[in-house]
Amino acid sequence: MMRSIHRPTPFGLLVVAALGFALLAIPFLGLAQRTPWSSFAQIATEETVLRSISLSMIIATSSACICVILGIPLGLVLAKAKFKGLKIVRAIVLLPMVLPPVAGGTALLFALGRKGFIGEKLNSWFGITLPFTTAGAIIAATFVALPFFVLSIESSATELDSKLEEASLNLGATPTRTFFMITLPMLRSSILAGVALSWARALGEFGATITFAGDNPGQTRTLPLQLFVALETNPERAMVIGMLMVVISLFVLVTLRGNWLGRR
Amino acid sequence: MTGIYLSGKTRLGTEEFDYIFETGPHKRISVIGPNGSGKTTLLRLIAGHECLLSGSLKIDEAIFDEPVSGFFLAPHLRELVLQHQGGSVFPHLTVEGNVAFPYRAKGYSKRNARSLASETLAGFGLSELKDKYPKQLSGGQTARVSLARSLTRRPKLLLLDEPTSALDVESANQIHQILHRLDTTLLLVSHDPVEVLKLSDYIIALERNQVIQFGDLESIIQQPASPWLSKFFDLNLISGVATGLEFTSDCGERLQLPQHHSGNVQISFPSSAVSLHLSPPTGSPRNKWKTTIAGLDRKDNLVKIKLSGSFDCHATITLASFQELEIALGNTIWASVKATELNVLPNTIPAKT
Amino acid sequence: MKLFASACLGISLLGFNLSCSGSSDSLQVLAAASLTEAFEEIANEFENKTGNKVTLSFAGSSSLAAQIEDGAPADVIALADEETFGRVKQSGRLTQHNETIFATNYLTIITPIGNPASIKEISDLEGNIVALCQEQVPCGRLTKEITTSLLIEIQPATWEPNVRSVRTKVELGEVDAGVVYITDVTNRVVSIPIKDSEQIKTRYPIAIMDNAKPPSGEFVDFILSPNGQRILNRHGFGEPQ
Repeated sequence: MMRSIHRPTPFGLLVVAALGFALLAIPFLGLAQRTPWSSFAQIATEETVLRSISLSMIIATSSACICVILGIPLGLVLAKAKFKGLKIVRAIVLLPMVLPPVAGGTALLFALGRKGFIGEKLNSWFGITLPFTTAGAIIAATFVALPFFVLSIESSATELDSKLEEASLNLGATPTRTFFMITLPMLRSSILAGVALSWARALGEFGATITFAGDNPGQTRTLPLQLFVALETNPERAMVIGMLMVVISLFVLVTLRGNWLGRR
Repeated sequence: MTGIYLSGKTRLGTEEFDYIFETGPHKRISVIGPNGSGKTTLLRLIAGHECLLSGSLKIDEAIFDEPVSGFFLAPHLRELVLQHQGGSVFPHLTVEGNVAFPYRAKGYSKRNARSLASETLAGFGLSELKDKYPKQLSGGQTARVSLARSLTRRPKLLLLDEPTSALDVESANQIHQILHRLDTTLLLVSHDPVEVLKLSDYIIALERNQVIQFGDLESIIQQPASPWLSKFFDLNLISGVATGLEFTSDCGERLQLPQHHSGNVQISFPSSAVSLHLSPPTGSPRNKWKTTIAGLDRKDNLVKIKLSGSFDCHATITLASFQELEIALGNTIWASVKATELNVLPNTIPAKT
Repeated sequence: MKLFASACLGISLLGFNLSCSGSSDSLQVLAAASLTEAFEEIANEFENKTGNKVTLSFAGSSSLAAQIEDGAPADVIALADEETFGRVKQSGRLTQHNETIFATNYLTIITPIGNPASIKEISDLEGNIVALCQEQVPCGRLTKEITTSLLIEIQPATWEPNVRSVRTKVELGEVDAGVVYITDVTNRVVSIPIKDSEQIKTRYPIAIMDNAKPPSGEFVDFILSPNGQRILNRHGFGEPQ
């Protein structure tokens, strides 16, 4: 055993910290205590629930993948670029974090809906309609999840030692090669943390999805939408679905985020 | 042989930089100057991490950076390596991965790159460390990895930003030996006079973001253009007023000057030009003064003596003459210096030479 | 820092204070989404006439029933069908059965202006992009009743949580058609009648919850009065039958 110096935390601080933790943890205790555990397995394996689980997984995973592709360049630009209006760009990028998701969903409808100013072109040129499709649900989930990913990249990209990239250039690597051989590996842990965060956020997405992608069983009825329907018809089912989401999200946050961030 | 020619200006934030020098056929070049005098920026400019706003940078007659023609050679196309202070070793790669990086950068497969790098690894005594990560290495090992990596690139020009500043004497010595044997042109930023004297034959001196002097080492040591330079090369430096051939130090001591001067000046003379005597010297040296021994420092066969009195200065004499004099701390003694050894510096720093 | 801390404390106390006072003196009315405009007008007139404050809260009927089950504060509840009202009765918060039917409603098809999919009758909804109410809300249940009786099966692109969001999707042109109450028709949509749908009406019950504030009775009486009925009528609701 290694000895370590014990720095005492002020007692008052501990009390307030416990209060904060209680505010966050107690609702889940409430849920766990009301969950009908005897019928948990039976409800959790109902076909409609299973369908929602797999749909949720597909949507959250696709959305996290899109976040990686779009979010790394965006986070790097926000961290490194210097141009007028950067503050406004950053504010817009972070907007979905603070906006009610329903407002985001409405905005998406106006832009990408069948009559939206881009959606109309998508429809008439390529015959693509996004609302009420899984693709639409992925876009809605990405819309709310991307800022979490970008924030994670940006904060570690600002601390990235640019001398390492310079060294790579001087050693003969092209800028592209430098990006893949130096920048990306250096961002590894924050990419993984961002994936965990955005995946979990996409999994829990409700407001933007129901507004933009509607509620279409098999296409857009994810776990949260299933939960919403169940809440009004069959509260027992709602509790089981809620508990399922808690378990899945906790698992993702603890394994992905905890491990890879903790090592830093 | 790689000749660098730079004449140009640039700006970083609110700071302006104005460089002008050429290195000719010299292969061992040191860039010296006080902290914040623009040494690192000069290296970054040559490496292509900063760009000129006017003027031009040429290496071996080829233009690297010339705003007026809009030409700028991207850093990865310049066949030179800038080794940052601290080495900038890639923390996510092993020692082997770092040293093999220049091959990987050229597109070699991992395996080919590693086999090509194995010779360099062995040459730097790093073979046994090849699977370690940088955070497991000592400072000296890290410096060797960084240098080995730079050399795998086979640069025409190696820019080194204080390669030994954080190292212990022995590790620094190792690096010096490696650098000494290199065939590549070196441009070295250093704060250590010994390192500069050991490794360079050409000096670019910077002060306040400008080149104040450049030329071969001997001429700079003989005729430093600024007090800082004079001090850097361990020369005595005394302030006073010159009237014709006579110099009066701030505290009233009088010395003869080799040339006519007037106004506020500083005189410098090498510590080795100072002779010590037990009684007032007679004969040729006219410049003599009474002084007290305030410090003794032996280095190999030399003793550096700190003298205090009407002004402070250093004298360097051989161990033999030191023992002959039979002197100790606190003794009063006579010092003298030939007028011909005195170098007179105007008290204000000229903008450019 | 001290100033900031005390400001924080002050403002949050104010917030808690608001949440206590908000419910104390005004009448809490929970009403089905389809009643939105009609009840706003009724509440307005009631406030002017009696001086009692009314706080309205609109949602899909099944959401309201769930809120009641979860103990949401309520004095009066008005829902869009009797079946959902059954859940309120079972909640244990309505022990004196005082419910009254105060209005009726029936369904119609709506399409965006111009009727892009050329919908003529309800069977045209099969195979088109359609929004329907989720089946647990009254308009969804009523839609289901009609389609089953006509032996048609509609696969909607989206099941909306309440009748108003069906109308929004139609208004925005995101769907080619939707099924809503006749009272939800506006000039931003085209209404296409469903044959015989007037025979399949939904009946709106209203009730006073246990321990309701005294003006609750007055409010319900006002709705049942000729004045209240006139307002409901103007918004397209049928008379209670």
